[in-house]
Amino acid sequence: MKSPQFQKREAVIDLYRLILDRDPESEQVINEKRKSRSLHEVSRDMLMSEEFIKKNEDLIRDALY
Amino acid sequence: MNENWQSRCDALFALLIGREPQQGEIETLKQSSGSYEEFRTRLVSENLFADELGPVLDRWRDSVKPSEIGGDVQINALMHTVEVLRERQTKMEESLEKSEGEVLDLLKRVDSLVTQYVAKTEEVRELKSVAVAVASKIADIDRAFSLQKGEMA
Repeated sequence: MKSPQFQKREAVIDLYRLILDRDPESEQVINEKRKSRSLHEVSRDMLMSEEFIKKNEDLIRDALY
Repeated sequence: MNENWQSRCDALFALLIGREPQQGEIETLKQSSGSYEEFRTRLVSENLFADELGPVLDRWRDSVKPSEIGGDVQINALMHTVEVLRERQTKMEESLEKSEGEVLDLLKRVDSLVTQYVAKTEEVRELKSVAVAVASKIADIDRAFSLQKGEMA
């Protein structure tokens, strides 16, 4: 059986830094994200996360209204 | 915009859209953004890549509403502008009334001067006719005096 293709560890860390402005909270979180089918989908999910919206509420409001 | 800033924008783009940005594709957006964080937000809000980021924009619109404080500030600013405009209108109306009063005074003075001019003109005309009559009388007297002088001689 073919083993699943994992995302690179560094790519997951970059993702966190680029979108949430922080490092992943644990190795467990990194490993979970590495199992994701696509980092594009994960990144878009991060943009929609409560954490991102809360941190960037003023910027989003300025951009939207 | 420094190199690090720019590379972060490109990396984010690649992550979200799934490909490297094409030449000039996001340059305007980068140049008009004041920070990487602003670029990140505007990449979604400007809806340039609706297929990829449309759902994110929908989620943001549902979650972040216009600020009521901001609304109050805008309303207060508008009220202040209206008040200033009202004051300016009052001042202009007062100024107009004053100007109208001054114009009315000037017209009255002109009317008075014209009346005086007409009266003087009449007076001059009368004096002229009196002068003509006096000249005629003098001529008559002169003629009578000449005749009398001739008879005596």
